[in-house]
Amino acid sequence: MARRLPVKDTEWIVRSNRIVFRFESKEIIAFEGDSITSALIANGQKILGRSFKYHRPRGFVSLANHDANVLLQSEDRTNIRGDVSLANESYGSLKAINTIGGVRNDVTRILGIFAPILPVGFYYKAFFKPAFLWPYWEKLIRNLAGLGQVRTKYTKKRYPSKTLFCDILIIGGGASGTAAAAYFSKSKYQVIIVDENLKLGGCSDFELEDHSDKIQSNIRETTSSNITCLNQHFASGYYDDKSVILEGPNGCKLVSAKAIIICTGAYEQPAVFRNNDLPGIVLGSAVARLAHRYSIDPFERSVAMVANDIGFKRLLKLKATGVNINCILQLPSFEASETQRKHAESMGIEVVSNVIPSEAKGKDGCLTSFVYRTVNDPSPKEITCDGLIMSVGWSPASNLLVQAGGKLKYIEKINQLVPNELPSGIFAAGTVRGVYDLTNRLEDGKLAAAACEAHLENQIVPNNDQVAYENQSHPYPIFPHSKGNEFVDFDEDLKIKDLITGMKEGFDSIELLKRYSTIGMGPSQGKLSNLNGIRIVAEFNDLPIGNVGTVTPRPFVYPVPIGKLAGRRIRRERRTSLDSYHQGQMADIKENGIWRRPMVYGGMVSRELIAKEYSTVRNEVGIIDVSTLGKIELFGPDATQLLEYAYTCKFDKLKLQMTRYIFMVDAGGTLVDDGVAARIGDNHFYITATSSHSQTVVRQLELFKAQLKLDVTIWDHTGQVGALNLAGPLSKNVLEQVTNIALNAEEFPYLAYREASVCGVESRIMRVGFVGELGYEIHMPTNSLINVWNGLLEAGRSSQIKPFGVEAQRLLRLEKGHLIFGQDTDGNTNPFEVNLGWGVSLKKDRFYGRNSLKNLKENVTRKLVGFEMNDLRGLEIKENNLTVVNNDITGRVTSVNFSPTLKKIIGLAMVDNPFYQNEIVQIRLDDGSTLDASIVSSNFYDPENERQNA
Amino acid sequence: MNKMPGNFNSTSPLLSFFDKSTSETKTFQSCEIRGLKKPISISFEASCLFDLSCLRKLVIIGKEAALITTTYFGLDSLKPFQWVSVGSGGIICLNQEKIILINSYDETLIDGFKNSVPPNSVDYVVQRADYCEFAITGPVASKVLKELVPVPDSAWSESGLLCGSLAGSNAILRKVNKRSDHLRCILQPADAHYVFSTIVEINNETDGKIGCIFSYNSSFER
Repeated sequence: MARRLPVKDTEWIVRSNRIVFRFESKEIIAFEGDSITSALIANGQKILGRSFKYHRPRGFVSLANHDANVLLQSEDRTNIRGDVSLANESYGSLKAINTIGGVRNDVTRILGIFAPILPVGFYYKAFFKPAFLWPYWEKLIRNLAGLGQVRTKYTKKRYPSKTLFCDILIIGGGASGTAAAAYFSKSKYQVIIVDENLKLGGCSDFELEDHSDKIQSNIRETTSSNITCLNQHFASGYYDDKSVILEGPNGCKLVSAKAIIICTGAYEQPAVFRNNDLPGIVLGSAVARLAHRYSIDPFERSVAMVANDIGFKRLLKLKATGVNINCILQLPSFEASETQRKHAESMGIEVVSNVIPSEAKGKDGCLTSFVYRTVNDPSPKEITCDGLIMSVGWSPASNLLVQAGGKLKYIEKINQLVPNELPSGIFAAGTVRGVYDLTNRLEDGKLAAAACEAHLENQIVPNNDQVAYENQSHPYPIFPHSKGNEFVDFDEDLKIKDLITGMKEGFDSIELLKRYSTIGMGPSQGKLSNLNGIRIVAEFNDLPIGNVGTVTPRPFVYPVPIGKLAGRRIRRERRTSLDSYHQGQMADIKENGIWRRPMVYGGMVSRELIAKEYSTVRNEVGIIDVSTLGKIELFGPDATQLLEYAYTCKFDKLKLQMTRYIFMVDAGGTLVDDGVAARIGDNHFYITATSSHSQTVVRQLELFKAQLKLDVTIWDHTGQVGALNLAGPLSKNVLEQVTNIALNAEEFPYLAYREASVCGVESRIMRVGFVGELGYEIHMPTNSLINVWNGLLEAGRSSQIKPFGVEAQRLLRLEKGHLIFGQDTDGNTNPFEVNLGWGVSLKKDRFYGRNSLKNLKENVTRKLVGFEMNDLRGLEIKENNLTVVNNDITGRVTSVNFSPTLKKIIGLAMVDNPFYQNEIVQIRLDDGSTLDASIVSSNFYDPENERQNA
Repeated sequence: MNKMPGNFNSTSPLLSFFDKSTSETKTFQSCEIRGLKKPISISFEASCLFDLSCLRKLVIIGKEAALITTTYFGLDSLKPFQWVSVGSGGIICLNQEKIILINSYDETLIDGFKNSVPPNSVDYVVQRADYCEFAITGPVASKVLKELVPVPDSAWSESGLLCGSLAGSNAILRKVNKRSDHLRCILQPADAHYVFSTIVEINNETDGKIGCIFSYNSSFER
């Protein structure tokens, strides 16, 4: 049974502040400062989770989130990392993830029985025959797969994200990191030091107290300077230009630095032997964290398996602190000094040498004894214990270094991977480099800081290679057992046998084996499994470990909750003043560039809803919100000159109070945008642009104004002016009820412009139409749009007026053969290809793109043509289906739909020369079959324009 | 619309942010806004957002914009990014060719101007300009500045004006009396929902409230 140790000054818990929460229905009493895992351990909980595949019982291992054994679920959140999350009453009731029936009685543990028939890669080999069973398997696998449940009724919370800039980012607040930070404490540089723990100091507080004065002095120097200290922040990923994502309690921060010093330390590694995943088998560093930070002795009787000096010394300190340690088993590669051994024995610890681990045994899912033999005595010896503390070696926490472009090499004499080549501006210090001795680590931190400073000063950068490496790792802490169950990867329940099988099946390189077996692909990203995996691959292939290579550690190094990753939604979106109205009418609103636009009203897009809206416009009167159009005003002595240069058509003949269709091309003659220009004064114009290109048009006009030194004012009031289009044969009847001007064709002809009051609001009215009916485009200050809209709906009630959305508008305009830029045109389309040559006035001396258009006019290589067909199979034609001749591609369909008026399939297709001159176009459908359609004029509806000109 | 505005019948773009059970539609300067049924009074210790979109604005645009403005108001000059308090309202000079007049609680500023200045010539145009305007007070203001206005203090003009971006949308920001806990924000109505909803989120995190012109007036502008 675990117990709290006596109070000591250095502990992180505040015993006067109790915290109560529940775990699996049991009340847990913790202290402020406890992690969830430490609180559970202190309350006697041994089984804290279940494994992913076989649902084996799991306890704490690293207490540092280097394993994924303690992942929890609250009412509100899932995958709470118990090791590194502070105990908090707000969690309420917690339970382990991935269980049915609770962590102790998880009914899915029955999957363990099927382990022998679930070999590595079984999902590649099973389930595909018989095929009719796949839907069943799919459902079952989807139910079983994944970790944790996302609650749909969660409390919404946005985590603000921040971007920080600094000269130097130091990652890791241990001995080396704080030494590097202290080096900069009086410098001119902006420095940030980040550490995942509550306090700076790393593991030095429990492993290195011999030098604690020096470390504490470095910490004091750091915290009293201008250096920014970010505790409880995980450096989770490295990105371009020395940017690092930090995940903290209140969201993510993106730090952009000029140089980075990485002092991330090393992950202590487990030994691999039979049943090494039983709760009670833990890493030495985890017990040290428990004892020194949370004052907990987790075991009644523990045995330690040691293969390094650090581990042995640490055990002596733990024993002195009050932790129950009864026996130290030294693996053959390691022998403590005689002094240390005597010291241990004097404390009542039995020390055994040359131990070869055999297996762990358990009862009720927890460790009860450990079996081993020695090199000299092959007979098994069983030792009763509820804790087995492993200290067999380390693997560098080099994920960020590698993500930054660093290379690793394996040094045989220290049995560790260390950084070999580092990119410019990236530095490493401490145990991540294989430097373990405290004095050396302090020195290494300083040297890395000096090198970093030299880099920032553009001086020659000294290296810190002279600091000595140390061997603190067993060369092969893997001990196969004839009965198996030796776990290499705890996340994925992978055993030695699984990896061997994978390699026998041909996946014998580490990168292939990773993908086939999923080693290192669980939530802990192989922190405790990759190195042992590499060792097994080396052994199997009879290669030196250094020749096996490593897997690529991609972001994220630590799991980052999606909510924190998302941060606050900073994604620009524009709404028209009618957005609330559209929502109230249950419109299917979709994003159209940065604007939200209603596709149809009354539900999700469907042919029926579109047809209803279509019918309203063709037969009565419809109203559409076109506020998303660009709206630009130009005035000044040179306004005409600017437009003449920017657009292809002539403006000198555009009469006052009249409008015309305009389009703009780029220098190469490619169509950029179209719209309408109204002349509202001799040198005063009001022009529209497409919703998605209005800003491009404004920028282009500003550029021309500057280049030509024109005296003209350009005012983009797109976001301040609302616009609607009233269209249909009854539109005049509706508008005349709410305006003060005459609307008859003589006084307000097609393409005319008027300023008038509409529903009491001063407005601009243009008699233009996109849908082929009598129509009025009405512009007014946007905050008055809803008043005008409602006024028109009221006035049009007897005319059956209805709002219509973008989908109906697209169908209506297709019947009329009007283009949608970006849909019927592409990045190479010129005006002559889409029958807009009439709008290009090559008689003008100059306009932007003129020279290109002059050449293009003589070399039209494709054309937009109309097509139609009576066969209803044409409903299968989709935009972007190819047009073909003898299987050769000749073009593509740009628009297609069923015309309710013509009762035919109609469409537009861009077809190459000379095929556009044919009578038939062959269209290839998605399934590979082809359909023939007749090529016809694209002005399908009202070709004489009688309706729109009425 | 080219004519001088005579009627401002309009609706605040922030209506949808108000709880209908605690607010009611009111009209101020011919603009519909949501007024709280139960008035609130706020100090700088508490966070609050106030919808001020009903304050009328005129834009004077063109190469003579600065000239006719300075002449009418008797000012020596107008500098780019300058805020000038005039009577109960103010003038924002974005540049010599674009000036915005903003009403405060009475309509004298704009009504006086529009009655005295011809609406347009070849060199300038005077038009009603629809904007969304709101005030941010208390702790939420500094959080908004930190998160959504990523510029150094030096980017603010001497008169406490910043013409830049608020959460990525063009905006005019003003520190009232140069206080960082009292901001006035003006932006195009099309951007209002996205920007204001982001700010409401931050406001909620500081337990802030939402008020309108009337509560703002009684809290800060007495």
